[in-house]
Amino acid sequence: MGAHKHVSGAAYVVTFVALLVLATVSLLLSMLHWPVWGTVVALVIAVVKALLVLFFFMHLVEQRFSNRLAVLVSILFVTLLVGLTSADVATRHTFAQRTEPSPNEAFYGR
Amino acid sequence: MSPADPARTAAPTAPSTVDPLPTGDDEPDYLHAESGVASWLNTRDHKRIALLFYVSVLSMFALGGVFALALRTELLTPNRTVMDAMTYNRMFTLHGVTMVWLFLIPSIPTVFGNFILPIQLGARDLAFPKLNLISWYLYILGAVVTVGGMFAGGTDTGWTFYTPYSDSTPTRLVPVLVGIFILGISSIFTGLNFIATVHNLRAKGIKWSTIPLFTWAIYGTSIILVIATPVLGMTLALVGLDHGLGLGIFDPTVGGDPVLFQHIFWFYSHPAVYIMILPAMGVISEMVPAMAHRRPASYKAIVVSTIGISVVGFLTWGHHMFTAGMSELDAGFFGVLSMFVAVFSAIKVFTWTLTLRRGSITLSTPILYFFSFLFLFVFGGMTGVALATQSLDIHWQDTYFVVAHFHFIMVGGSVTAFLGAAHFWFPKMFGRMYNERVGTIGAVAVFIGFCLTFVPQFLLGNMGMPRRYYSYPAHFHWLHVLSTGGAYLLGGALFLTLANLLFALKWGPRAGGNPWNARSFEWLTTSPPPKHNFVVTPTLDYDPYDYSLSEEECRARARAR
Amino acid sequence: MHAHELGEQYGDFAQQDHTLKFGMWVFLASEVLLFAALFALYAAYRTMYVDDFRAAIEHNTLAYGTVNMFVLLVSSFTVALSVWAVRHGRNGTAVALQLTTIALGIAFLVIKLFEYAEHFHERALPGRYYHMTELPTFGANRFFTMYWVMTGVHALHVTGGVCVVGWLVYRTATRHYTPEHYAGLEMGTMYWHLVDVIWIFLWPLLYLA
Repeated sequence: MGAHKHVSGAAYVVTFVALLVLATVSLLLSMLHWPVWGTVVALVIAVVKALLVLFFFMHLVEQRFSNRLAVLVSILFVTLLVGLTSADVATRHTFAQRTEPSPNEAFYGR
Repeated sequence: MSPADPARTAAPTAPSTVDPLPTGDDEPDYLHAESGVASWLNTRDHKRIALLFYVSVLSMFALGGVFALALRTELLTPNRTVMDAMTYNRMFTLHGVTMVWLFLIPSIPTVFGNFILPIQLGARDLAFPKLNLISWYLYILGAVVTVGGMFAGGTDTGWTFYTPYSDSTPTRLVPVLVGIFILGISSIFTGLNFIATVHNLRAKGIKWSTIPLFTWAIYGTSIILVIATPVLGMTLALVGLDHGLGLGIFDPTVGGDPVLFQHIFWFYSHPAVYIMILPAMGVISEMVPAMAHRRPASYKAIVVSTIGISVVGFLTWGHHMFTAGMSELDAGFFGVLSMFVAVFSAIKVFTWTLTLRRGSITLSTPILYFFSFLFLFVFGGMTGVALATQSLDIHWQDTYFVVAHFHFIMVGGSVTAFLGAAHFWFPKMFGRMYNERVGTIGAVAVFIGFCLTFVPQFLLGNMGMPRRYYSYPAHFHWLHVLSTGGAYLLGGALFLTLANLLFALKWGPRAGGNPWNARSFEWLTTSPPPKHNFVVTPTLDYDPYDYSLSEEECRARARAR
Repeated sequence: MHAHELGEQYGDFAQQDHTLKFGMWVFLASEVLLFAALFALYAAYRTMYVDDFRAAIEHNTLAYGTVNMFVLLVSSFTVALSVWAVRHGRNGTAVALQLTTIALGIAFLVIKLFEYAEHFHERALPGRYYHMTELPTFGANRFFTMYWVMTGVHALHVTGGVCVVGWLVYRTATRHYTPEHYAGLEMGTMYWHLVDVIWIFLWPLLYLA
């Protein structure tokens, strides 16, 4: 195949056990119902799990940089889409109905 | 060039004495290598697939043109001319959907990208030839479903399918959405194929820094195809779910936000315009050095600006949403980035123009298309920067100003470059030359027809004429008449151009391998190229724009592997 | 033994294998972007309705989702091991591992069906069909709308993945894959792993409060 160092059988097992442990930790942490940071930690653990699958199960650790680049590029663009769309929603100013007349109305003497 | 040339066999790095470049005796050219319908419908040859796409996209261009003429005819008078309002709404939707997805997006990549890119890289075909054929079949399936859907009751939402109207429109939306989804898969496969080819199938001697500029442009386009198109697919699927099942993903009455549709729609659709213009710029980057017989003023500038557009083009989508209710923070970000991305286009324009300096220019149809492109693209591009200014966009949003702007880029830019490519690579693809005088008349007529159609639209938009409106007040009448007249002239000019090329296919004089005396690798093969492009995979160790070398010297530097 | 065809466009098998794997990574990138639109909508709606989302997540069927997380992790392990097995010439073992993956994939879908039935029972349905009385808020509506769409699209991919692994079983059993030539196997298992990775992100977002 041309790959230089194949992932060993043991590495698969270690990766698998790590994944199980991380999933369990994530589950247990979620029971603390930690606002905001709870979600952040859960997502960080998810990223670690994904990286383990990518590098060991999907053999990215054996492969060339251009394959890793494809992964990196897609992650960056997902972040971009999610980020700017949420930023819009988070930073919109929606105003409640005014009850007193606006300064303009006072100026125009209505 | 005989294989026994002593000058080359003496080179110590070239063990083989086989000349990789074809002499015409090696194997029949790709057009005659096999015959029969089956040999075309089951081909793996990128050149034949390019021609399959050529016929398909030109047919769709003609169809989209018919829709354009229909709607321009309707706009000849302020009220009803030939159709009712609902039909008119369907007509501009049909025009937009056909032109964007059935013509512009595939056009240059699937025709000229397919044909030229492997040869420019010294490859014998694309990385995945079977996938290439599948791309074409998916295109045909998508075309049948989309066009069929549009005729069977069609849709009146405009090509942008905005919610909440697309949720509730009485027209049959779902078939059109399915058709576009299928076309999207075709696009993704094409982009994937090009990326894999550029990364892995370059002939020895071709480094990233000597890849021809057209190939760089197709590579940059392919990144957008692979990254952006899936987002469109999902967006249209969601619209289909909302429309077909009444889900209400974007429905405010159940907590949804229609502006979110616009975010995910434009995340694709803005980079989509770069899918449409980057290949055109790639064509220009090949035509100008070849016609001026000079290397590009700066190869690096073109490459950096190409990748710059590919990437930064993704950061600007919100400029379509300045008046939609987006936050000021986002609007500010998108506005600035939209200005920034224009810098890359400007870099290219200056580089192309500088390339002409002290060149030995061949005045011919391709360079006429370049001059046309230069004027129209720059004009259109500057109006784009103006539109990116929020305070100005407030007035121009959803008026004919925007319509004129994007037609300047898409027709004045992309279509002009497509026509330029059609003439520039015609001798290579078909081994014949078109009639130069008719080509010139066609190019001038296209330019005049285009200006007559779209300059009035800038004026209309600036005066407040909204886009997609069926009827209008009398004081806009004369501008609409001018625009419609221009549209018919443009249609006639395009028809003349096509007729010239079709005539030349059968009756044009035979063309040699390098009628323009250019230097990039595709001009070293025969016209038309043999089925496998080269006799054996070459090692190409000269850069493709080295006009200090004679053509013979370039051929000498193409050794067998 | 099957003769492995070297495509005319390739110089040698190493180049062909590298290109096939690279192509598959590019394809997976496109699949990731397919889900990106959904993640963007989820993030936007969650930003709009932070508290209602939390309440809805807490109400969601954690047990089903978590069991499915572990099901997919095991299935990824078995299908990855099947590549290891083929690399060592043990096609029989590989087939057994792949069949296990298929079984787990089907288990995922069955569990999902039961889960959907429970949501249906509670009227926690998407968009205009939402009528859950315990959480009558817009935010909960948005959560369950995104939940149904995201897990639905994911389930479609699990189904596709099961078919892909089924094809791999056939090719492995007929000894098409050998220790020297198994690019197709690698590509197929990559697809399955993608399905797992998507769920790795869906699980905390949809089930962990």
